[in-house]
Amino acid sequence: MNLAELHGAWLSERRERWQRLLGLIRSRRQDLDLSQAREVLDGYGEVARDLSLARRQVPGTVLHRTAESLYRRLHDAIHRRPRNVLGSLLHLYATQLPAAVGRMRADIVVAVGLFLAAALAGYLMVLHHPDTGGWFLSEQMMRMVQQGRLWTDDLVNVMPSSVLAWEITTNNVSVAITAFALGMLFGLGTLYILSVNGLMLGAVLAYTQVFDMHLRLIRFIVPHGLVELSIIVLAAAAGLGLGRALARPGPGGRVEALRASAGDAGTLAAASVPFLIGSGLIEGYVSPDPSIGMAARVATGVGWLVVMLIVLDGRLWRRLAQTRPPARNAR
Amino acid sequence: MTAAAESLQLHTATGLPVEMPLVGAGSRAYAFLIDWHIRVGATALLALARQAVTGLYDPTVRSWLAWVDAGLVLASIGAYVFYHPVVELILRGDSPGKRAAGLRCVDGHGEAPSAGAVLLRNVMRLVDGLPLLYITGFVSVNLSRQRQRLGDMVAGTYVVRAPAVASEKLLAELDRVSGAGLDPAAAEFTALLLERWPALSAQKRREFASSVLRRAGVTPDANDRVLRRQLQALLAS
Repeated sequence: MNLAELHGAWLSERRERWQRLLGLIRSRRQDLDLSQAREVLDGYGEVARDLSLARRQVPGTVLHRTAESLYRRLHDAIHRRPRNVLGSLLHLYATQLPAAVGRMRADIVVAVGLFLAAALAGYLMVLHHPDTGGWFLSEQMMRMVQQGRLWTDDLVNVMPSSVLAWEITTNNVSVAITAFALGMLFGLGTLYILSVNGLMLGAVLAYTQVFDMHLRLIRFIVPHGLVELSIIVLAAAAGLGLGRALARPGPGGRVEALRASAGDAGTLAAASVPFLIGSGLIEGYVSPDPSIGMAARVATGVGWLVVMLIVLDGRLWRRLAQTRPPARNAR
Repeated sequence: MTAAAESLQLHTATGLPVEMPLVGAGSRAYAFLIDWHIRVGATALLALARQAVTGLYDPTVRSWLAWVDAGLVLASIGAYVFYHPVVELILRGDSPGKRAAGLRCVDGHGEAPSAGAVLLRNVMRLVDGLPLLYITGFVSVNLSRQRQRLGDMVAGTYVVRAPAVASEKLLAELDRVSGAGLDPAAAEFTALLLERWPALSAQKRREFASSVLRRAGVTPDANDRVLRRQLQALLAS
């Protein structure tokens, strides 16, 4: 058919049809009855033919742009997934996140092992040679410990808990991002971050033990530290995964391996950020509060860790998902 | 799905691909700036509120204001850190900045991305933002064949241009430029000529109008006003 020659007659017939289809797709899908839905589906095919003619014969004209726009709207109206944010989130936590953690298991084991080994090394080194504590603690911190005080004492007198929580959260997020992103250096950057942080933790514990103040430090760390350190180690595991993808990509090639690794890491990161925020709030409001007893601190720390493990495991979400209708948009 | 450099082409059941124009770093930066202003504005307001509350109580003494303070901390963290993921989840991949700039975020099927994809592409902003000012993301968009930053690559999303003009307006425009005696290109040209008639010189008016009228089999009149009416009649037929 020559559109240029038959334009007027053809258009007057099609225009009415297009107007009708536009009216139908402007309605909500649940308001359409079966015959109207079928009309939209038939119209989709008709507009495809119209557009095909317009693309070939009258490109760049208003007619072409109108057909293009209508075709895109019809495609969207037919294929658009129903809005199901909760179902999509449930799928993320019930299926995608546990699967990502499972695939990263080896990297997590390596990261945990490396962190603990570094912590042990730092601890033994400073315990037997306290003068090496200066490699990890500032002079001010060392002076305070020697005077029988911790740098964590009176934190809330220096700044409000809200500001403290905010600063701690942003710092933790930075450390986690750095541990992850440095994995792009074939994992070497991540190894450095893990080792340094592990050494520091061990060294600080040992130095305070030399002056018999380690229990006070543990009392401060326990409420927030279990989850905070776990998330940073998980971020480092993700960084190691990136490094492994670069160094040993496998048959799919480096880009594909990186994409898969970053996908898993991103999924884990998306689920972990709320826990870093929670740990920041605990460190700002609970940890520095001298009136909160050890039992409550242990309960907070262990409880928050258990919540994190439950979320990462996914079993609870899968049980929840089973009680809901399946999420049609879950891919 | 195959992607050309200029557009995302979605294979469809009809056999005719839907084309969605991909956008480059410039348009994306424009949308980001709009969102950034909204983000910073909201965070600043909450920070001001928190500052007001902080000055009202003694942090060493228990007070209900501490909970208000904590809530404002959460809100200001949320406003800055979670603006993009939360807003994009609610707006199905879009944001106020993207909408203002006429952009949309879609997945490989041309649909709104899933919640997981939205979260993933936003977490990867942290990498795209390295070392500063989104340099990594900028380079990635410019080097990528499908104009994706790293977050898009990982999440399988694309940023495309939303239709500039609504279908309804295009239909109205089509009515205006349709004429039974003219092909679409000629009809549009005639409509444009009539629009610019006052700005054109007499010679150009005659030249263009005569060309259109002769192609439609109409003898052009010598008078300028009649010439114009002839064109209007041709378009209205």
